Amino acid sequence: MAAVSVRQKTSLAIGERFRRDFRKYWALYLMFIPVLAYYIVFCYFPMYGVLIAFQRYSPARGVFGSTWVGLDNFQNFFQSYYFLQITWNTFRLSLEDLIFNFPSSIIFALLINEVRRTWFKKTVQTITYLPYFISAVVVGGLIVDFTAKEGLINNFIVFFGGEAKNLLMDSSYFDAIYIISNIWQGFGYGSIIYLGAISNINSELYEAATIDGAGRFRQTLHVTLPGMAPTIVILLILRMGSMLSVGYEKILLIYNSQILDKADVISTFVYRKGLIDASYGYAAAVGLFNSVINMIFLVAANCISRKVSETSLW
Amino acid sequence: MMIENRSFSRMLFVTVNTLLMIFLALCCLIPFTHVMFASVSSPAFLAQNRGLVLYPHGFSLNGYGLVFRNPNLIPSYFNTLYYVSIGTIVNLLMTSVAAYVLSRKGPMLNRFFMKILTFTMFFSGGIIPFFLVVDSLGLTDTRAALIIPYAVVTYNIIIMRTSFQQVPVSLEESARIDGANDFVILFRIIVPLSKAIIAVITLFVAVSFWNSWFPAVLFLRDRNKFPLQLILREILINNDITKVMAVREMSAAEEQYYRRLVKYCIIVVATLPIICIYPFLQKYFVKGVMIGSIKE
Amino acid sequence: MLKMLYLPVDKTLEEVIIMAGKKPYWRIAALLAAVVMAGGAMQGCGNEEQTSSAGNATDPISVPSDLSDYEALDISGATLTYWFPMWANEAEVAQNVGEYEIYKRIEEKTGVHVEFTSPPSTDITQAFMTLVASKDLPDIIMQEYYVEYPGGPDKAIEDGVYLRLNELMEKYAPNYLAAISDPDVYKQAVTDTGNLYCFSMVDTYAQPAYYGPMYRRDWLDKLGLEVPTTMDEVHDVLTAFKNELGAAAPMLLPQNGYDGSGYMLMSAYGVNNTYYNDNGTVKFGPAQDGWRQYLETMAQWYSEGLIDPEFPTKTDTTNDITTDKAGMWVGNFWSPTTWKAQSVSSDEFEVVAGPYASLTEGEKVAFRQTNNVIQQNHTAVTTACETPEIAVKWLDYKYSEEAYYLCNYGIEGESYIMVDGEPQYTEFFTENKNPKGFPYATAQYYYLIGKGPFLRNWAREMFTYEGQPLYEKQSAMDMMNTWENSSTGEAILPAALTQTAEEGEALNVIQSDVNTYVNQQTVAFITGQQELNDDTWNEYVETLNRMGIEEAISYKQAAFDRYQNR
Repeated sequence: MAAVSVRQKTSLAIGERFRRDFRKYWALYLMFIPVLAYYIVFCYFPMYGVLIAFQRYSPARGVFGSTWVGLDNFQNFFQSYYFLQITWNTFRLSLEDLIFNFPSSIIFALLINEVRRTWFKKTVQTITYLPYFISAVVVGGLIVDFTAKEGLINNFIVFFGGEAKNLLMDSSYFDAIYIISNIWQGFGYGSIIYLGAISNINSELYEAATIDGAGRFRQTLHVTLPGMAPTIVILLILRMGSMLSVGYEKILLIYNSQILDKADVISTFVYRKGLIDASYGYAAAVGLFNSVINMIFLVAANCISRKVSETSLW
Repeated sequence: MMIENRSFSRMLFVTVNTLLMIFLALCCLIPFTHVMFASVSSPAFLAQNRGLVLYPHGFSLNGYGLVFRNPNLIPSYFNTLYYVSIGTIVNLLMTSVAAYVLSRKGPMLNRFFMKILTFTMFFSGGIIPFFLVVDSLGLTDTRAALIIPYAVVTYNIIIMRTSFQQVPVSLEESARIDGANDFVILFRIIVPLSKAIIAVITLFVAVSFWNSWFPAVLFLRDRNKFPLQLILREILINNDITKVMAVREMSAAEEQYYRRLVKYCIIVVATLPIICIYPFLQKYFVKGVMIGSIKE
Repeated sequence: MLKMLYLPVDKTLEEVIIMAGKKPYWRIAALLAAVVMAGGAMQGCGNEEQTSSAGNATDPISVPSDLSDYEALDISGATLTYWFPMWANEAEVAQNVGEYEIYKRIEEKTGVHVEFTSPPSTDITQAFMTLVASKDLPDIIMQEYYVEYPGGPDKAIEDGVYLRLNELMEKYAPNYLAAISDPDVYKQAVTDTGNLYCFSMVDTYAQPAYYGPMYRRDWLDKLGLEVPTTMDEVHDVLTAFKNELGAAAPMLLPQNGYDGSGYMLMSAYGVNNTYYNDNGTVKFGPAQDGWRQYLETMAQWYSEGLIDPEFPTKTDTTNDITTDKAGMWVGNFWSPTTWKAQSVSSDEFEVVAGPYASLTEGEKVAFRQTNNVIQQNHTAVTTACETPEIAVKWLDYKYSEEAYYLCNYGIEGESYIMVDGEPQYTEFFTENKNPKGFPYATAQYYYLIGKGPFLRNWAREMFTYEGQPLYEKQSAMDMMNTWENSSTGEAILPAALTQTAEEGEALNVIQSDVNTYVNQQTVAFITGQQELNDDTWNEYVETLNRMGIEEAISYKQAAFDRYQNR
C-alpha cells in the first residue's frame, strides 16, 4: 500500500503537488512570511554587494556607478606576498580549534552532567560561563599580561627551573596561546547547548538502561551521547562551514610583528584592507574567496553527515 | 529515579571529577575576581603592580566615580536595556516561528527554506550594501535600526529547530485532533516543552544585544540613542587617545593615574548585569522539563 | 578683518621661535595684534593686495575687494546640520557639541542655529565611510584628522558629495581667504586641480616640532654626562645607563622597531620610515642603504642590551618610564608631567629634550616631526546643504578678528584681560575658576574651540607649563626649539599630497603588504632573529621590489609633482 501511494505522489504533476501542499500547510507558510521577508530584504537583497569584488568601488557612486575591474582584485590577492601564509595560518588555527576546542564543551557537558550536588553543579556552571562574557579586549589584555616576562605563566616556569621569556614574542607558542585561551573562554558557555540537549533526552531511556543493569558510564555512552548526537552533528556541520574563518578581534589584540608569520589570518588581513585602507573592492574579493571555500566545506560536511548519520541541515 | 552506583570506581570518578570541576571553576574565576578586586583597589597600587590581584588592595571607588561622571553613561544604559528587551522579544518570536515551521516534516518548501537560510550564514553582501538597504528603508538614526535588521539569527533557528524536532509527534497529533491550529501547537505545546532551549536562546540573544556596538556605529548619529557598549568603548580607548593625539591633549596627570583602574571598572560595569540575569535563566537548564510535561 | 595673520611679515620663523622662547608666546600675540590692526587699517582704506600667483596652473583666489555680497547676506535665523566627531574626553563632559558654551556664543553672534551629531569616538572612520555613502547627508562634515574621503577631495566633489567652494568662498569667506592667502599656505589648502573644498584649522603660525628624543636629565646629571648629540654619544650614554644605573631597558623602541612620527634615530642615516623627498625625487626610506645602517646599529645596540628587550610586544611603554627602567625614548613635551606624577622616583624624575642625533658633531639631520600652518579638521560643505552660502559665511565667521579672540581666549573681562595689548588668561582658566570647574585641558573644548575649523593660536595653552618644576631648567618652548633646530626637516614630503582614486587604490594594495613586511623584517633584524648580511638585505630589498615598491614610489612622485604645480 505504502509503495503504491508513493508512486502515486511522484506521478502527480508538479503544479498539482504544490497546490495540495499549499492547501494542507497554508498556515505554516503564512507564519513563515515575516521570516522569509526578513531574509529577502536584509540578507538576499544586499548580496548584490558581492559585485563590489569585481569593482574599484566608491561608496558615493554605489555598486552601479563604480568602475568595473574584472578579476583584478582577486589577482592582486592571489599574487600577494602573503596569500599562502595567511591562508595556511587561517586553516591551521581553525583546524586546531576544531580538534581541541570543539570537543571541550562536549566533554565538559558530560562531566558536569555527572555531578550530583545541585548547588555545586550550578556554581561550577555559573563560574565557567563567566569568561565568555569578558570582552575580547580584556581577554587580549590578560593574555599579554600573563605571558609577559614577569607574568604569571613565567613565574611558574621559573619556579620549575625553566627560563623566563616573553611567550608572545616567540611564534612557536602562538598556536598554543590562541587555542588554550579560546578553550578557556568558550568551553563553559559552549556546554549550555549540550546540556540543553541532554535535558531533552527522555528519562525513560535512562530508566530502561538502569533496569538493564547499565552503570553510569555505559548510560553515558549508550543514552546520553546518542541523545546529544543530533546537536553535536549540527554544530559540527556549522563549524565546518567556518573552516576558513578565524575571528580577527582577539588576534588583532595579541599579535605583533615578531609572530606575524604564524598569527596573521585572512580576517585580520581583510580588516586591515577594508576598514583601515578603505579598499572595499579588494576586501570584498578576499571575503568572497573566503565564503566560497567555507561553502564548499559546509556542503561537503552536510553531504557526508546525511549519508553517515542521517542528521543534516537540509 | 536512578540508583546511585557506589562502587569504588564510581567513587574514584566522582572524586576526580569534583576536583577537576573545582580546578576548571578556579581557572575561570580568578581572572574575573582579579578584575573585580582590582576595580576597587587603590589606583596607586595598580599603577605599580602588574600581578594577580586576589583581594582588594586598599579601597577606592574613584574609578567608578570617573566612569559614571560621563554624562552619556546613564542614558546609554537605558538605551541598552531597551535594545536588549525589545530585541530579545522580537528575536524569540521570529526564531520560534521559523524553527517551528522548519521543524515540520510535511511542507515541500521546507528543505528549500532551510537551504536559503543556511546559505546566508556563509554568504553576505558585505557591510556597505547592507547599510544602503537599511538606509533606503529610512531606518538610519532610528532605534528600530538596531532591532529590525537584527530580528533573527540563523544559527539560533537551527538550534531551536533541532530541539523542536525532538518533541514527540504524538503530542502534536493529539492536539490536532482536538482542533488546535499551528499557532496553538507552537505556543501551547512546543514552546512549553522546550523551555530549556528557549532559555538558552534567550541568553544567546540577550548577550549578543548587550554586547553589540557595531550596528550602532553604522546606523545611529544621535548620541541620545547610543547603547552602553559604545560609550564604554569610548571611555576605554580614551586613555590611549591622549597618547597618540597629534594635537596636544593635556589630560590631568591624575587622570592618567587611573588608567588601569578605569579599565577594570568598565569591564565590571559592562559585564555585571549579564551575570546577574544569568541565574534566573539557569533554573530552566535543569533536567526534567520534558518529563513533567509528558506526565501531566 | 584679519590679514596675513600666519606669520609676522618681517620675521623669519626661526626668529619668531627664538623670540617666543625668550619671553613666552605673549610676544607673538602682540605681534599678531599689531598685524591684526594693520590688516584692519588696510581694510579701512579699501586697498587690497593681490597675492602673487607666479605661474600656477590654477590661479589662487585672492581676498575679495568687493564685500557687498558678503555684507548683503543675512544668515541669522538659519539652521545648519553639522557632523562633528567628538573625542572620548569631550564626550565625558557633554552629550552633544551643541552644549558647549562656545557654540552657544557663536550662535548668539551669528544667529545661526547648528544641530550637531557626533559619531562614537572609537569608530569615526567607519562612521564617516557610511555617512558619505548615505543618502541623508548633513550640511557640514568635519573630517577627523586621520579620515579622508576615499579617492581624495577631488573625488568627493566629482562624486557629488562635497561642494566645490571656490566661487562661494570668493563671495562669502573673506576672512578665511585672508588666513590662507600666503602662497605656501594656499598650496596646502587647495587640491591638485585647484579646488577649495574645505575650511581647515589654520594656525597663526606653524608650531615647532613637539616630538623628539628625550633623556632622563637626573640620570645624566648623576653620571656627569652631557646631553648627547651624535649617535656615538647616544651609545655611550645608554651604555652608562645600563652599566652604572642598571637600567633594564635603557632605550625604548616602538613596537615596529622604528617610530611613526619622531623618526627616532634613522634620520642620522639620511632616511625616514616612509617616502621622502631627495631633492625633488621621491624615495622610500626602508629600501635605502641608510635603513640598513640604521638596522645594523640597532641590532648591535640590542645585542648589547641597550634597547628594551621586549619592545616588539609592548603596546604601552609608560610603565618602563615610570619604574626607572628606561632612560631614553622619543616623546612629546607635554607628557613628562604625567610620568613624573606616576614615577617611582617622583622626586628626582626630570627629563631633557635632546637634539635629533647625527653621525657627526654639529650636523643637522633632514627629518623631524613637523607642523604646518594648515592643520587638520578639514570641514566640507555637502551637496545636501540647501543654503551653502549661509554655511560658508557661518564657517568663515570663525576666522574673523572677533572670533579669533572669542575662540582662543573667550570673553574679555571674564576669561581674559588685555595686558599691554596682549590677551592674557584670567583665573577662569589658570585656576579652573569657571562655572564647571573644568581644568584647561577640558575647558578649552567647552569655553574655547579646541578643534575644528578656526584660526588658532596654538601658543595659548603654553601657560600650563609655566612654573612647573619639570620645565624650570628647560621650558616647554625650549624643548620644542631643541627638536626643531637640530633638524632641517627639508626632506619631508608635504602633508597635503593627494592621490587620485586609481593611484590610491593601487597604492593601498602595495602599501599594506610593504608595511607588514617592513615591520616584520625590521623587528627580526634588530632582535637578531634574522641575521643582517648582504644576502638577507638583498633578499629584503628584492622582496620589496617584487611587492611593487617602485610602482608605489611613482604614485607618490606623481602626487608630489602635482603638489608643486598647484
